[in-house]
Amino acid sequence: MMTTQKPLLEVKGLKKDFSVRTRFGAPKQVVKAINDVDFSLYEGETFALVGESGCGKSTTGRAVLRLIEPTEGRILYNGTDLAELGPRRLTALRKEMQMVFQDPYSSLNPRKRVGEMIEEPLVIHGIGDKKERTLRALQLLEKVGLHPEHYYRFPHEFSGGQRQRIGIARALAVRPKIIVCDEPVSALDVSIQSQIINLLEELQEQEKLTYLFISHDLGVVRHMADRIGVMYMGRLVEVAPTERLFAEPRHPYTQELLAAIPAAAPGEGKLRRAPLGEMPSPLHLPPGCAFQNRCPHATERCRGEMPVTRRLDESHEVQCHLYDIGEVTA
Amino acid sequence: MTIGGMTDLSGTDGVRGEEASRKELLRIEGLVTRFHTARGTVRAVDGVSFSIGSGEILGVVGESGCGKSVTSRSIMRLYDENKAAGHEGKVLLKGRNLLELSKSEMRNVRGNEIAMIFQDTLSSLNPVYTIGNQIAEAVRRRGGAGKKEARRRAVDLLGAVGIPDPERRFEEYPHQLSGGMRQRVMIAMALACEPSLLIADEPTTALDVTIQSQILQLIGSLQERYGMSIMLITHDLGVVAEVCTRVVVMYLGQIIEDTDVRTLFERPLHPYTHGLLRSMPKADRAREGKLESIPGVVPSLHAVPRGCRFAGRCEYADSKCLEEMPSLTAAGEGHQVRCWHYDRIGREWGNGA
Repeated sequence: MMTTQKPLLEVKGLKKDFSVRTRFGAPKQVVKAINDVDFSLYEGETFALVGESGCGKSTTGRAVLRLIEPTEGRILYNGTDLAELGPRRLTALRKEMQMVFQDPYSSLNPRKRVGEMIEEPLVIHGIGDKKERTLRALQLLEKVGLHPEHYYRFPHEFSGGQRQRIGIARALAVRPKIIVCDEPVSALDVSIQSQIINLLEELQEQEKLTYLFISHDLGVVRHMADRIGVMYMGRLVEVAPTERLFAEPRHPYTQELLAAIPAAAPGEGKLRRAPLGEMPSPLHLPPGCAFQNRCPHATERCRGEMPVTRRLDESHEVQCHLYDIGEVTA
Repeated sequence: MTIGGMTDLSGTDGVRGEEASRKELLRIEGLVTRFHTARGTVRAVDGVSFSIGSGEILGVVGESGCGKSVTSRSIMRLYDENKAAGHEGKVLLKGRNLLELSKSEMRNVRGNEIAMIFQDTLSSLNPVYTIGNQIAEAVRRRGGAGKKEARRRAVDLLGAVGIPDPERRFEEYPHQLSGGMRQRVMIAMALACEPSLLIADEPTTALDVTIQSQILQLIGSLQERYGMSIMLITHDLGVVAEVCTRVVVMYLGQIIEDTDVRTLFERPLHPYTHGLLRSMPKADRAREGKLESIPGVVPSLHAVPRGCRFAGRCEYADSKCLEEMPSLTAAGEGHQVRCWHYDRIGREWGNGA
């Protein structure tokens, strides 16, 4: 199914370097926050990026929207390369892609009323007149499970879950095709988390949305995503349909990650082996595979040569020397 | 060493789980913690009673604002009692009421009998001293060790909590370590006191899932090795399932369910516990349709409902629930629940509802 469909968004060879100074006076060093990331988003699906802190999943989300400028690589929306667009056409295209942030406290302006914030994207994109915009904002409030009387309130009057609903309403205002959800439920309590997950799913169906869903929570991701990309130290090391990934994780890192999920019931987790080691510093990456120091299967080759991404079958890709047989992706 | 000798008592699952041979280490009776705020006085912990057996790992679960952290800090008496807060009730550690101790007596309890680790390790460690220094200081405060001996013990402890190359790490500063390593250092410092109770407040919440799993395994293995009791505060039921033996669930300052961990997952009786279990997306099984969720939000402590505090969000609530607050009632062997309808819920759950 995936191969016949044309992707809505294609990301090719995406790279983002940050230069950092480790201490005062020292020369700047380069951190490769994302390194050669390729993936596609198909219309109507939820593609999740998972990984641990510092793996580059949020940077990828932001680079896709050009909220940060990628160092290298191409982002094609319906065949148009975002990197080649000037500021005006980029703004026009931004209408198609919106973002929902993790922290519902810092992502809303505390001095603006809720209605005004939801209307803001409509103003920026010159959609409708004042009256139409107000009407649209009221509709959106209802759509995300808030009330029309919330229109004149300020963010501090709302709980975390309600603020996240406001953030979602604002993202929906310009009728986008793609929403990048960056850890949208991580800051919320369990009982509120499920409300927001259900809301995101309902909206996806009603509005035919495509989600790029960034999360470290494998439970949430297994529930939400159609396909999952696993990131480690700036690289996309495995991509597979959700149930396929959980049933047959190929990359040793994916295997470690899945093994580390806390047990769902008492007594189920006790016999597992502990994961090995910690992530290396992104400043001093070893040559070869970035996972070598934690990998139970690492060989001489992994210590010298960076593995390429290989396609095991039409939907499953992995970047590891253990799988030397698949076709090399472009 | 006192703690070494207790290993046999608590090492096996049989002893840990059983009520009959359970020896109480800490007993809390009717604990109330009040805070004076600009909008009036709130009772963040409102009549909490539970106990921790020796060698037990007790999980305290609930969402933000339920009073789980306040309970632990009240046990340690970490609040400024002259200004911000007031306590009622009893906190009995081996029969001694901690709430009646003088400040200096309480300092001794904190150093020697109860140790605490926190979620935020970076702000719990002193940035200008090496980690080894800080652990050695904890060893020396415990008494009986000279400088050299304290250093040797600190290096041993660093090794015991799984820090590779402890001799070298001894000389490092907190900022040079990763979050997981810093949590290991915190645990080593706690162990230096040879406490009979370790309070861990969301110890893995700030950590990545693979590191979380390492730390949980470490906590479990240290409990077996040193035989101390652990009070683990968390919002994550997965963490509870992984390491705890008993659990209390809190909601808006009260305990609403108290039972052993198996019963909590297999036969919970409070609608809120049910809701939490069902609204948690499961990573161990494929998606089963829409998630169930608990409607509404937790009420504010400034406007606590008159009857059952969960009534406004509960599918079972009737007029009695809105009027009268249920008390924590025994619903079975070692199982207590605060709900008027637990009988019915138990029957329905039993029928696979």
